[in-house]
Amino acid sequence: MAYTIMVVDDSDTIRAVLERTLIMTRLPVDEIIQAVNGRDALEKLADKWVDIVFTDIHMPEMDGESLVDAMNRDPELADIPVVVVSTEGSTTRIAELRRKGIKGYLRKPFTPEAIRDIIVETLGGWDAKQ
Amino acid sequence: MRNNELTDALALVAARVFEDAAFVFTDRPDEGDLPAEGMWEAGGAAVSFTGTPSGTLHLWAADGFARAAAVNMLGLDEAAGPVDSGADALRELLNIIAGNLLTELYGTEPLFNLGIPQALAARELAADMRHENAVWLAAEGSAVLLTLRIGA
Repeated sequence: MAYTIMVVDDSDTIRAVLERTLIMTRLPVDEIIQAVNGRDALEKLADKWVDIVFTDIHMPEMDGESLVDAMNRDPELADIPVVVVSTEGSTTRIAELRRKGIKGYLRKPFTPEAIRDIIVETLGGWDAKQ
Repeated sequence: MRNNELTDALALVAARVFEDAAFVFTDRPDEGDLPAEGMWEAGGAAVSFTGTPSGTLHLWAADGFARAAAVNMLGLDEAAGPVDSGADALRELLNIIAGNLLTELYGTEPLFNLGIPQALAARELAADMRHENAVWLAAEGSAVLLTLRIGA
């Protein structure tokens, strides 16, 4: 068994960087699903279960905060851990997102170690997934 | 806040982001090495922010820099073929610089709303090259220009 991970960002570059970084963590990753905004993410989540969602905040059509709200309202999605990956450093914003139940916050630029640590902290590591 | 404090912070944050996110190392060019107006072909991106204060940040770089940044960020082999992601990489680097610059200048307490980075029209380059808050960096054999407008 390995993780299915969703990456939500409107930047092709950041989605590709996150995908590459996830592979570099050497954690057991089965599939990485990409979405370009919150709406795209919700459509894909309707068809596919994922273990964790990494999402940007500022995106066109539906931003990351609205995605978190929509997931919280849906009993099928409310338990999926969400990690916000953003350039923002406002403690006010981060506190608000934490109140909404996000499991972690990573600031861009991020390192493979930070991604790995947050997955292990949230889901458990290789051993937990066996 | 004085202009030189803004531009020093911008230069510091931009250099750090280029290094950490794109593995591109920059330095401050001599004035004689700066491109002449009308002679520099560069692509630009802009991101706005609202809060206290509001403003916009612009980033201009030649295609070679944007391509090199994309290659490094994506871990591509440059010899493998053309890279189409230069403009997207430039917009994302600008986005990261803007977010990090705001906390560098104003701390982590205030709430800013960052816009979505947009491409800039080439006609805006000349005004940016003359702007009082223009910050020049040199990297990958070419120049990079950033301008910060507060209250724009």
